[in-house]
Amino acid sequence: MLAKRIIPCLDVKDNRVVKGVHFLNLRDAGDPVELGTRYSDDGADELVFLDITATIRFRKTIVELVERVAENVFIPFTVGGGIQTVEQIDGLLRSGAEKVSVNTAAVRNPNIIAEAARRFGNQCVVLAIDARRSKANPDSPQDALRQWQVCVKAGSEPTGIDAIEWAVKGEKLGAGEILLTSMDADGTKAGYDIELTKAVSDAVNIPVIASGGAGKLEHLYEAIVDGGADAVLMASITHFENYTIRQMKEYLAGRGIPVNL
Amino acid sequence: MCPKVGAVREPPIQALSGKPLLGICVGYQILFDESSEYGQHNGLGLVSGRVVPVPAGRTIPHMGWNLVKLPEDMDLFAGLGKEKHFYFAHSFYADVTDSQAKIAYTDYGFDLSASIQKGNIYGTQFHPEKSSKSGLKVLKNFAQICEGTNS
Repeated sequence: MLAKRIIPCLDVKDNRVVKGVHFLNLRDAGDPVELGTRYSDDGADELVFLDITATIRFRKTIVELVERVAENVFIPFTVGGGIQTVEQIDGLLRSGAEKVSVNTAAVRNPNIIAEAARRFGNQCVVLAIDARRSKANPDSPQDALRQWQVCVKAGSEPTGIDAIEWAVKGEKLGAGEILLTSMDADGTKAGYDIELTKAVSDAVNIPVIASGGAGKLEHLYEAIVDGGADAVLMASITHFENYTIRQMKEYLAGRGIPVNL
Repeated sequence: MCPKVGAVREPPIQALSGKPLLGICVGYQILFDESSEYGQHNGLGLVSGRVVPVPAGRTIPHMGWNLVKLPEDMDLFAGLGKEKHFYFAHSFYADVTDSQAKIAYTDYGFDLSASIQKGNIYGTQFHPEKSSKSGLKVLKNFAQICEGTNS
């Protein structure tokens, strides 16, 4: 039986791992390769490296970092942040990344997903979606925040695109996985957005990684069981050593979730 | 990342000479007779079987760590015990029909062929190079198989 995956996320800024609340107020959390190696040794199933400054300030891609990680870490890892072209994806895969995640560029030009999937295979194309709760009818005071819209440029720019519809379109275009981040929950440690996770995982047939809001071990269980996530991603609760990866897996295994222990 | 099929001519010639050959992921799939991914394509035909889509009704791609049952007589898995998790990332799989091939399976709602061994031909659908300690052990075992052949 396929194990549910525990994926530490390393937000990288100027070659340091950082973590903030709602993508702001960044704290330093260490060297990316060192931290990645530690997570791999601790039993992480995968790693995600996100270059969080790339779309705001123009920067070249993190090819050098990818090469260093690939030489030292023997678990799959995804790289994302500021990727604009299929050529950049090509370069990152050749440098040793297992998968590349695309966010802003896919919204601007959905064809980048189709082109990358055709050239490199669906399995290495991850559609990253940053979603924020919104009202179906913004003018109605009674209308609850029951829908989600896609945000781009590291969450700074709402697009008006419905997150569920975008996930479905992403799968059709050829994405092999969806990295779904709740902008509302990210960094709060108050739990994943379960409704969002469930809505997306019900709508697509490709794996969904729940992201944003992990603070307690129960949150991981909820995202998997109630949200239908294939994998859970976290940053704060593990970078600052609230929980080790092994503790997370032992907890989930104890509640009947298949994990790779 | 899986390499393009067109780059592969030398390995099968070497394999026919008796040298050990290890195919990984698409490199595993290409060992078989044919594949239906993006149209019908001939494989190397070193092992009998067809590469077909993972059946609908489950999450596709089959992506992540799955538990592989390790037959004792498969040399790649020496010293790894009865079962181990390995990392998979694929949407097609090999339906192996070769009676001479030893096969290791994983459970994805059906018995999915995770690895084969036929004479000097070895293959893994999973990625040993991304499967942490267990994966590195598989690669070390293959290196030992190669050394044994040379001596």
